[in-house]
Amino acid sequence: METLISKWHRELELFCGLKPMLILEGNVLDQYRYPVPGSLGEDTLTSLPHYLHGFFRDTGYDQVVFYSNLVGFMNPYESGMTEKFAALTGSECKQSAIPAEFKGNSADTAPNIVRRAMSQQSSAVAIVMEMAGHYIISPDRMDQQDINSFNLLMQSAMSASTVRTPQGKMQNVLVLLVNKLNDLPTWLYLNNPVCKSIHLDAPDREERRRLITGPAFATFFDSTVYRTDIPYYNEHPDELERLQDKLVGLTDGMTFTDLDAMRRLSKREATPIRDLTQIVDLYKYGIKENPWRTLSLESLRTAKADFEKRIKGQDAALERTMDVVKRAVTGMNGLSSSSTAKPKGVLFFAGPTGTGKTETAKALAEKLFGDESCCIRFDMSEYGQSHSDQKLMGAPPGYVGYEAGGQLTNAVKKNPFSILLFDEIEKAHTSILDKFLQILEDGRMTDGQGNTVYFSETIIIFTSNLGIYVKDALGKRHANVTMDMDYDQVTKAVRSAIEDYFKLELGRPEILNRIGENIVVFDFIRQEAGEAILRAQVNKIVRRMEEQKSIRITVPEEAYEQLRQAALADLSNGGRGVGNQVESLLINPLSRWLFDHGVLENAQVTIDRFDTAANPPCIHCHLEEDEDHA
Amino acid sequence: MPDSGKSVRLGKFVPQGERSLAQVAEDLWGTTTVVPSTHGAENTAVPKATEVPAFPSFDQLWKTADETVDWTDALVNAQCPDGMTSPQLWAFFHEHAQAVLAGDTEAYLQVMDRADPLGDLQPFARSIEATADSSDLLSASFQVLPSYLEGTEETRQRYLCGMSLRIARDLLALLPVSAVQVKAMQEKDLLLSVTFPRSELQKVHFSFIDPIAFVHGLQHTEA
Repeated sequence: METLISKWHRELELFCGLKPMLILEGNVLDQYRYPVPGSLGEDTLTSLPHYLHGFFRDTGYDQVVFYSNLVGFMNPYESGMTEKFAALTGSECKQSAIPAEFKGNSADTAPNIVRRAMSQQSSAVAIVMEMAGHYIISPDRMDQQDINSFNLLMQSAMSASTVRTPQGKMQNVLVLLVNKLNDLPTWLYLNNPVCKSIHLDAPDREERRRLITGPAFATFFDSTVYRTDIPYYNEHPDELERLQDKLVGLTDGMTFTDLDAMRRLSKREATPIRDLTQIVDLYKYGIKENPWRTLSLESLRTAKADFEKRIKGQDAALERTMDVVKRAVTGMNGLSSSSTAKPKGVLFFAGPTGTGKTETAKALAEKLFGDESCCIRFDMSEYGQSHSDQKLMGAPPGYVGYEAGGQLTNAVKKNPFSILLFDEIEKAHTSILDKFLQILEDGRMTDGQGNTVYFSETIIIFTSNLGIYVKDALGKRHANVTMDMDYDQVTKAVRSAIEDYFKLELGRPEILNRIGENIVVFDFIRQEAGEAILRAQVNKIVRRMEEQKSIRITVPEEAYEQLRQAALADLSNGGRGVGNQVESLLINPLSRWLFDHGVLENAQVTIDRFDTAANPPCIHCHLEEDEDHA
Repeated sequence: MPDSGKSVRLGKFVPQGERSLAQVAEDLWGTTTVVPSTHGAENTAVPKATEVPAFPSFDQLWKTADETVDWTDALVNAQCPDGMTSPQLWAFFHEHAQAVLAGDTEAYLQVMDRADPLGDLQPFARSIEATADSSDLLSASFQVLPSYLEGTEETRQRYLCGMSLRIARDLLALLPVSAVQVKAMQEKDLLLSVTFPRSELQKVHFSFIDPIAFVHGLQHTEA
């Protein structure tokens, strides 16, 4: 296989002869793949300190030592190295370590030893200071001794000697490992000509591909499984390649440590080669059942018809919604993208109020995951402040609410297989839209506590009333779409207004790009749909009265017509408006009549007439003589 | 053993003639409670007795499991992993991993011969032989020591079932096969023939297992 050397390794090679102080920052707690044959085997996965030991030894350094403020100087990877370093620096070695505090007045503090080592010319020395950001409480709260210690390190780098070795001249080098560059005092690295910082990232696609498709691939499997399965894939290499490609995509954002743990998990679970990608779910979520895989295709075939029972008059919108679901189920979501870790689907529901947007999301959750509660709703009007992103993602360490985590990240951690409904997204602060960009693009988010939360098994639905009203030049709101427009005209007007909002008003066309063609416009509740909603609601009330109170309600056609005319007179508030009318014209007057007439159960009531003009509205009924209820 | 197939003699048995039960017990048990790891020919020493129990307990034979050989790891890593006591044996595994993972039965025999997983069973049988019937199935047979058949039916069954279980477990730990068939023979008489699927043995907790009940629950031809 071709040698694959990471960017940071090449930078290390480039600068270790040029800059005597190197700061490696970022993903320093991870393992790394040693890319070339040398003192470590090629493609060996190992800790960063071990890697650096191999690197500096292979480069030609005579001595490599590691400093930790808990132990002192040591080298656990090569025996005798610490003793040699002690002799070189005139320090005392006890039990294979040279104890040294980071700060203090003694001549044997770590910075003093570093200074002696860096300035000598008899041996080429590389000193790696691990977790260098932990030597002090914080760069903002350093006492004079802290400052003196870092100052000594800087002076050590400035006075670093060059040593003649069989490999040529080599400069003594000091390496600091930190999680974040700003864990160190700024003056140590900023505008410091002897210092170079190198960023370490999580493994990129090529690195992951190397691990997954390289010789280590066999080690993902139990021996018996591998022996049994591999002959088939030797005959069908294209299938193996597809599986490996998918795994490379699914592991986007994972560290080498994650990948290695996942490899061991796959082996321990005796995962067959064909199910390799399922191990990602197991590793990420800790459960084996992925509802997406157990979805009944038969129930999905009837899904649209089932939805229509719940959401009236939205044929086109439901069709578009089902397209996204079908894409998710068939695994075709994200085919056009480099990342397969994206959410299963993204939908942007727009349209007038009360047209079934939220109801569709709930119906979808019930259909896909068997439970409406898998639709997790966030009212974005509660996230209108600039700091609201902390409510969603969790506050950073040191801030109030840090322990609680974020509302969104907690919810997804608890239930990774869910529908996330962000209601009225236009009311959220723009800083939150930035967070959504990352979720939509990478399918993951790191919460305030540093835990990565994966959204790759979710469907994300935004709802919005954008485009229903627009402001004129005077800032006055007026309707952009009206009931007399047909659905195509409504769709066109709403889409256009949404595009204008993101492109012109917010100046964030990239958000619109992520939503892509997934804007689903819900139509007005028109007369026919309104009638269906009314009929369904009245039937529901009648049925419940019968079931719960044994009160049989009869609404003759003539009386129903009175109710219908009053309830559907104004459909501008959509289905919710019809519901409000039913409450006002039927439920309230009916309960008043029943109470006033002492009819609490076991009765048959006929509604003779609705007086919808009265204030409050009332109904006229009579009790039927019913043998059953007598 | 099948006449047609090659087989390997396990346990590095030396002609020893018939020994008394007391001799066997003294050789094997004493006060020791842990059976030494059996991977590697280096490991042949048997603890000497300081106190002879009334009858040797086979329980001790299956309570200490050999580590399963990770052949996919051996395929990739030339370096001996932590915890593996014999770098030479790991080097041998590394050398043969490709063939083993390809299901090469000849390689299976070489591995069994070299690793000698049943070395510590030497005092319990006249001989043990194993062969690879296919890339997925090993067969092993052992010639019983008649003295173990002289006791009660319970002790006789514990001997046969315990030995079979132990042979199967260690062969399954050594090679990536799905099953091991074990036969207990007295001269030419078949006393027990039982097939141990890997899937069944993986469920077993060896600290609590009753070998008789376990073996009786498996597919066997004669007992």
